Amino acid sequence: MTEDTKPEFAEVTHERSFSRRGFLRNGLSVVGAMTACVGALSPLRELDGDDIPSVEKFLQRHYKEMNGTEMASALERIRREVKKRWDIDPVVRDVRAKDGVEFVYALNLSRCIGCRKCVHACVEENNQSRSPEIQYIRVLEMPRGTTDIEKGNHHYDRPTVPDDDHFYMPIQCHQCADAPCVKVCPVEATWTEKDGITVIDYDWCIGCRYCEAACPYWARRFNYTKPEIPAADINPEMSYLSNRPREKGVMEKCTFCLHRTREGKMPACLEVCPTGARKFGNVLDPDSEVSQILKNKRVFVLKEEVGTLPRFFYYFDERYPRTEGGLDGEGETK
Amino acid sequence: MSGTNLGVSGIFFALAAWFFLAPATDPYPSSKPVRAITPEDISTAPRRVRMTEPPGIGEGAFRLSCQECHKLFPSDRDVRVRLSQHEDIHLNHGLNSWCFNCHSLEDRNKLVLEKDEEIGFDRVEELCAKCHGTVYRDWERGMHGRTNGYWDTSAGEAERLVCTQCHDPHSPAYSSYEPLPGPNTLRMGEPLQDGHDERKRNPLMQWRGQSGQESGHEPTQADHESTLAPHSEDEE
Repeated sequence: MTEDTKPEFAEVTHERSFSRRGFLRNGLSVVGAMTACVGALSPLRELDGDDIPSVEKFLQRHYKEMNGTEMASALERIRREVKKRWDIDPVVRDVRAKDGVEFVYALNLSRCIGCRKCVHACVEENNQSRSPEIQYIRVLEMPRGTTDIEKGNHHYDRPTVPDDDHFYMPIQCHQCADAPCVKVCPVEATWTEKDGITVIDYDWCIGCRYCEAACPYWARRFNYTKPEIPAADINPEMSYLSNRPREKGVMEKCTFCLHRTREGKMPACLEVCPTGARKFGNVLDPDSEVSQILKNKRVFVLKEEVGTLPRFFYYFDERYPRTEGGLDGEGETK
Repeated sequence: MSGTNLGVSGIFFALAAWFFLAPATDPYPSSKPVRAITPEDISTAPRRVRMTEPPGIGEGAFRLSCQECHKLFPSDRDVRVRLSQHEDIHLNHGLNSWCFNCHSLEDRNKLVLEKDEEIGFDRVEELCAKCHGTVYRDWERGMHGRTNGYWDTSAGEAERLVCTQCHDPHSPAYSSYEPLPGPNTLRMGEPLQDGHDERKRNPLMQWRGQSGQESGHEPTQADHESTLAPHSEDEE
């Protein structure tokens, strides 16, 4: 445009190597570009100290490579961080797997009534983010007659449960013996322990979410932002591999409450289950409840065809749940 | 050339202004649960209190057990009449509709097994086993009923709950619960607040609402949520 209308003027300006007008125009462009660069970096204003890892954390080694002193200082650092953020004194420990123990979970679909108590007891026990909401257990309301989880709905909201035309199928981490999430991790931040629990070193995770994509059971959760937990809701009994507070940008998952179960206790989801649908124990002990269930009940695993060898078994032992208003006779149907 | 420079610098300035002046965005919409979870919601206490002693009336030294009255008014085993007492007890136990199937005729402080063998209230599971043999067998092996506490009995005590801690013996069908709130994964906030339909803001909700929902559905308080999940209704 400018060249077409005033070519002789443009030529003249061009011949002069340094004009006032040219200086101003070029200068404006440069200043504008620099301002835009600074502006583009302006989200850095929102960074606070917690977003930058401490030198200590940055230099911390992988869980499996840490010796006793290094682990002690890592636990001390976690204790300090919790104290600073929530002003409570937690008990942070590193609870190790025991020999001769392999954990198995069994869930009786005939007894589950879909009350979602397990979901919220888990959130409470494992210090999951309340906002945004992170939950390890997803309770699917399934139409009777199929176990196709694509037909399930986890947003059900009824005045009362159970509903006579549905059954309820809670899904959480299946602690697979051949876990796809472990195989895809590019930095070995997740692995299966000798008692069968798949764990994550939250300080080693880079947040690539490959494991989330690999998991056929939707069992892994990502911290998109800084987890928000009210100080009053923090569970101060923490362990390195399970329920210590997580950071923004790392994965987390169900660990069968390893800080409880490795010390002989039942996981929180089982403790709260009002119907006894949830069963947990050591499968290497032939008299344990789960061993008895595997021997005597018709158990199945979810998505058997994907070959993940889950340690989480489902079973039915009745045709219909016995709820209020239903018939109570043995073997009778509507 | 200079005009181009001017244009480019204008774009740069506009960008810079936008970067600085654009409001700080929340990178991840809030997804708070619909309501707060109270300790009662996730209480691990048994649903019912275990009765190890027969019930009675009065307190302390003035306590009267069942038999104190019943010994004055003996019942006839073979005459079945509607009770004029105990009207608060509604027997809804299937085919088991006779008091003396479970309660002792002679001593009302006792329960009764086969062949009139009397047992105390603390052995109620043996009474239930009279009819529910398969369930009792499962319960003995830990496959039915709740086990709380420790799975590793060398580390602590496993608490086995008995039949009556979950089931009302007079109406044993397991009663229903109000479910705790579900996941707020679509981050819809409070449903339908102040007449403002949150669904309109979420394209996924719009799509679901158009494609999935069939007609003839009673508008209930669950209506909002069932819109999210056409599958649950499709199968009926």
